[in-house]
Amino acid sequence: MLQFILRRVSLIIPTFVGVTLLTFALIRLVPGDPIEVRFGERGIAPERLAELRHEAGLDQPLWKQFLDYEEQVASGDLGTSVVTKQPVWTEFTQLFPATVELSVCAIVFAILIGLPLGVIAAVKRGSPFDYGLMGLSVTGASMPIPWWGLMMILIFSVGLGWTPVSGRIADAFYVEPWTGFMLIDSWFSDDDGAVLSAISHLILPAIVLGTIPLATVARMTRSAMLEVLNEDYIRTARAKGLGAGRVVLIHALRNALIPVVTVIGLQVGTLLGGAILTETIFSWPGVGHWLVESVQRRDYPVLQGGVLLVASLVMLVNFGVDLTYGFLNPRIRR
Amino acid sequence: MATIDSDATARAVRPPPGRLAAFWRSFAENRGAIVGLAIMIVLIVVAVGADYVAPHSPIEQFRTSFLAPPAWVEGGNSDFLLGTDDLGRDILSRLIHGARLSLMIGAMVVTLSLAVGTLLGLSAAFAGGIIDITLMRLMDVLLVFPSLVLAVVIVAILGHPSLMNAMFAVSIVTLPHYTRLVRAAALSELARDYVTATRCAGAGTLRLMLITVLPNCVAPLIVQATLGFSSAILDEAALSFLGLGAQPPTPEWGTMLAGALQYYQRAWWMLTFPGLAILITVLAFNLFGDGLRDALDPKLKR
Repeated sequence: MLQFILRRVSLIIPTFVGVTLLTFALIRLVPGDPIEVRFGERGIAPERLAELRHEAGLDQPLWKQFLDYEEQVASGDLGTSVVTKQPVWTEFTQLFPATVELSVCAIVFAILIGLPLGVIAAVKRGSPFDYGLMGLSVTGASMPIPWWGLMMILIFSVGLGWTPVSGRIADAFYVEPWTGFMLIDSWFSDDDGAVLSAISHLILPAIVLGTIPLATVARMTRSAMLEVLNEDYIRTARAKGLGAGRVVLIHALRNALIPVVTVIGLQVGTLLGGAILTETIFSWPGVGHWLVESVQRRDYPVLQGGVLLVASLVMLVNFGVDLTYGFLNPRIRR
Repeated sequence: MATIDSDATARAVRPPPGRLAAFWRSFAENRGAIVGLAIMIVLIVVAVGADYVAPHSPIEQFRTSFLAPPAWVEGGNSDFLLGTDDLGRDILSRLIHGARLSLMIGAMVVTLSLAVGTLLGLSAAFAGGIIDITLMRLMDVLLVFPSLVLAVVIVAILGHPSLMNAMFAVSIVTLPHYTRLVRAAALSELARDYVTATRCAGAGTLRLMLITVLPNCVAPLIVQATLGFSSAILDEAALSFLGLGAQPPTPEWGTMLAGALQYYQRAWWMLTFPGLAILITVLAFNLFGDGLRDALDPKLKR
């Protein structure tokens, strides 16, 4: 097992260096000099520019600049926003809980609905329910998320007036930002309506963000269950006279869960990518919205740092999934 | 009795169906795939003949009817079947011309990433060693980024947002899938005897790559290309929606969605129809791709 972990770590390090290489290249490839971009429209005198370029190390050879950048990243310095003058890391940590809250709710929604549906479809294989669910699952995977989100707003917020259109909580409530997770913070606030307000703000974005994971989870559960249900030990369990429910839920589902858990772990990238669209549609103050804005405002240090953080996060989660998988299934440790 | 026997003999004597016929029979079993194929054909016909099919020009502004509702809704006008947008442009005509754009985007993105991915994948498989490792690590790096995040970064690098830049970004995002697929398929073929035999007969590397090995890797590539077509359309529409792809007044479906942002609460048709167009197109390609996979790779079929 230790060897397996070491081998995985040795794979992850060059990938991380590659990711930093890309984010390093990003700031140099975008049109405009990084220093000039910082001063924006106002412009800057040539002498002062040369001076600042020297201070920032921009007159050094590229490989030296890259090593400096690596050192900077390793010490946790991700640069400063051109627009707000705040460190990128500070901005990220302020916005990240909102994205986590949304993503967790989305994936919980996807699992709560997708897992049982996939199991039922596998058990009733070939039935109208199975065909219907598979049809819905392809439709979900084909869904243009911007449209889906706006349609939900049109129907449930504008038409029926059930949920608010955007934001995390109604302006009427003031909630002390304690953990950054609105559901938890509003729970501990004295105001009873705050929790309800937070939930009603969260529900539509979570459904929209969870739609593609839902389709994936349902589909994966179905095919994993189908595979397991054909195994000899299921036949044995049935032959022993165990009830159908026990066979399906205890014997089959437990073994079918391994690939499903892997797929769920790998949804993190999908969620963070989907957050860009969902957060933009619902004006959700999270990391995805922040990244899009950074491109629109040409705030390249934010884009650089934000993208590096998002990629590192995906890498860490994939690494965790890999380790868990290796732990659960000794065959792949080699 | 006798008739039945001769029937059976006749059946036995009949030559086995050709590969194409066998493929078609297997494909046609999948009703979803047939529906997908039918929609694709209609879309292609509409896209090619957009100039003749569309009732109006996609950018002509009818100053007498801004935000006209669809024909069947009260206040609708039979001139504008699906209504008009905020500038008085016919939505149906814009959708029809948008179909041409979307199919072109899909085709360009798939062609580009397929060609480059095949080249990189084959190179990695044939060269091995440090080239293989470097290329595959590079693909790993690209795969770490969520696809839309990477696309946004590439658009930022390319400077100004445009349809071409967005297509380029989406091509790079999908590149690793093709590269990995081709490399894996080529590696498994390289171990086969027929490749060794061809090599012994004196075939050069290029011939081995393109004429001996590549045709045997085609089946998974076709499937990936079909599914890549739909994700290209989706990603491009998402970029355009964010304002990082096609720019107005281009009748691109994602751009139309973005244009509907301000008006959709009172003009639902501006939002509903472009989205449905994307959904139906992507769904058709996905259904078709699933059918292809089942028909081309019987192992996966259960």
